[in-house]
Amino acid sequence: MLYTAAMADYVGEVVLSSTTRLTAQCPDDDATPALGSFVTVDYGPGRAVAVVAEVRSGSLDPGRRPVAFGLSEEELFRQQPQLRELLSTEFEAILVGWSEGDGPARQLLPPRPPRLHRFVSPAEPDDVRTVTEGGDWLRTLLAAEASDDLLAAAVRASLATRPDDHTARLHAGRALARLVGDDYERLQVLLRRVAQ
Amino acid sequence: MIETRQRLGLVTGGSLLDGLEMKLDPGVSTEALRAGQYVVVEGQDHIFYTMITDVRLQSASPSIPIRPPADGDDLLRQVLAGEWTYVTLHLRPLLQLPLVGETDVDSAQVKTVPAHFAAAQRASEDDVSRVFGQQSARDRFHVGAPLDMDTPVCLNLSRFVERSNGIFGKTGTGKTFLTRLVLAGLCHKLPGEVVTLTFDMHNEYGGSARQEGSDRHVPGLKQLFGEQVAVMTLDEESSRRRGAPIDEVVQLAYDDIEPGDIIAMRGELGLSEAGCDTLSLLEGHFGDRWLWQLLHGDPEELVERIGGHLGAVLAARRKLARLAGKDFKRFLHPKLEGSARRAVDTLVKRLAERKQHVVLEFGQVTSLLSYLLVANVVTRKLYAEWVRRAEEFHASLRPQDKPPHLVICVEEAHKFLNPEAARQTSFGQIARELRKYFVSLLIVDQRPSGIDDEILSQLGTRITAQLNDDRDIAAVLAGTTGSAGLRVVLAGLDSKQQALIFGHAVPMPVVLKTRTYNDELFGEIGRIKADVEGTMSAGPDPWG
Ligand SMILES: Nc1ncnc2c1ncn2[C@@H]1O[C@H](COP(=O)(O)OP(=O)(O)OP(=O)(O)O)[C@@H](O)[C@H]1O
Ligand SMILES: [Mg+2]
Repeated sequence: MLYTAAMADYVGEVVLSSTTRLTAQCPDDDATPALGSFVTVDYGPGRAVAVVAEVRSGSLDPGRRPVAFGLSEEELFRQQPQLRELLSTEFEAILVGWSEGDGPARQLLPPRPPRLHRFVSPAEPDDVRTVTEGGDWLRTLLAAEASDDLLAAAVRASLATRPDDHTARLHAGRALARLVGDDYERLQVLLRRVAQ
Repeated sequence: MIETRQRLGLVTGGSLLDGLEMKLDPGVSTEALRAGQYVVVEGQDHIFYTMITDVRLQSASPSIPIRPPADGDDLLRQVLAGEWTYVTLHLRPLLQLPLVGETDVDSAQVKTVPAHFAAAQRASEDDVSRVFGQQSARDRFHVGAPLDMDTPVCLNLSRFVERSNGIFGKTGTGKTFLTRLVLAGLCHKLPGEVVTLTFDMHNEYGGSARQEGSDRHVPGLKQLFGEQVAVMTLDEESSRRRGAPIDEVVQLAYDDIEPGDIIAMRGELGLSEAGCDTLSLLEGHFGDRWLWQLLHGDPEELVERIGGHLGAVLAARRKLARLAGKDFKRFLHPKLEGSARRAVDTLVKRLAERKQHVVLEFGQVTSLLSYLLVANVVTRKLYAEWVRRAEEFHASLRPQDKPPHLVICVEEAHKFLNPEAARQTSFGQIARELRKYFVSLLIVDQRPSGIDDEILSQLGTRITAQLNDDRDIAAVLAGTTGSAGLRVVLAGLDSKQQALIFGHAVPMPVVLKTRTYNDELFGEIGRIKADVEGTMSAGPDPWG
């Protein structure tokens, strides 16, 4: 059941994975997940939650670089429909949460990397809430060398699942503050981005 | 301790010497705190009573004050609050009591500090009353309540009279009201044990006195305590006119005055060193007729008798001629006959034998010089009498020989106790000798910096209302531990009916809203309102 549900609105298919990151290829250029958004990958049983850390497009064949044609996108694909098959968009996500069965996802890394070719879909708001409870998940992001922009985008995405919780923003801010240690300027920048 | 206290934060550092440092919990507003407020810190076995002496805004990084959050940057502000920007309080430990068991505030000196992270809470009313004792106790008298509290703060009167004490404050802060309150406490709580003599320069203690800023009058000690208080006056005419309830008239004769009485106020008189010597020479030759001789004798004859220079004698005569002036005529006479002669003796009798409290009114005798002279003469005689009685008692050790404890209350105390006068007057002696002879002073003054340092530092209990002058503040706090903290507290006092009390008669310093001198107080003393008013309306309206 879960498998088909995930398949229905999937945003990627795992093509490279480890216990800390995964790379997934998007089925469709128009359905790429946003930077900092939360995705989930099915382990059947179990699922991991990850934060989209980078999205990139390019040629499927690493040896061949796309060249510029000087045409509008519409015109280009009308003239060269085969290009669609040669290009691909993929994203990288940092694993931040794990659930062994059907229970809520927690702030843990999965014990094994996601299986290749599994589908990746947007995370359920409930999973985002449980994984981002407290500030530990930010530490995981930071350990995976997330940039400040990514941190801020991920915090924004996590706050979007708690629209009515007024203290959530403050708690997230405090968690960031603890994370950056005594680098006050960095905190200033981060919070300004979160507040945007 | 059932009442729950409000948590403020926790102890983060400090020392026995410098006091405790405490971090305020985020969410507690600094504006709800005040220097002088009590904070209790619960250690493992002890509860420490401390006083807030400083509130400090801190930031964890030096860049924060340099680049503070912008105006609309609320998130940053909120995130910083409590961890990056926080508030610390400086607490001065005052007392250390065991968490369980008897409260013995006498052995509650602070001997150590609580451990790290001990919880600091706002002191509750229970905490305060645990320390300041029950007002029903024999020698405790309710003089006010801590600011923002209703718990009575009681003065330990037995301890109070053991030493000389001071009541200070700039003009209009309520010194006289406070003094009257303390005197009322002594009359009420320790009758027979303690007697007081008040030199009442402005006629405010015995009969009714006007309350500033209203037409209301408050009853004086005589009205509150009846027979227990005697009002004596130097100026019968004025006292009668005001309808003051006087018991006796006090007059002085020249032979009551000794050169020492004059020399103690030589500054006021402008008397030279040579002048002082002349007075002593005169006394050597003429005994107690020296003053009469100086003022009325033939100067050349005097020089012949005593030696010295005519110029010196003439100068002394000129300076002392003021003693024959208008103000002095009301009470000072070349000679007195009969019962009038013995006014000072009856004063002693009233105090020592009838155990009455005495208020000595000055009426229209308004010059400072008269006040100084009378106070010096009377105090000298009383002191001699008390020393005699005390020595008799120390020899016989019979309880019936023990003189009552005498408290002499003077306003404008710096005039008697400035460094120069303090060496010469009996006031200086009393202030220094402590309780040996059962006499102590209650000095009331608006310029404590004028008082001799040594005497200030001997004061047992200091009650001080608002003071503005830095020198006065420094003088009042001289010789106290942690005076920097108390200085802050003192600076925060309102200009009326608030005072800081510290010293011998209170277990720990306390910032007080002084008890209002009103019906509730008269009720405690056992005089109901109508009763008091009845006595008051007995005479003609003093101000009408
Ligand atoms: N405890 C009190 N109860 C009622 N009224 C008070 C009290 N203390 C002060 N006041 C008010 O403040 C006024 C001034 O007080 P008071 O005369 O005692 O001041 P002071 O310090 O003696 O002034 P000064 O230096 O001029 O003698 C009083 O007239 C009274 O109205
Ligand atoms: Mg006064």
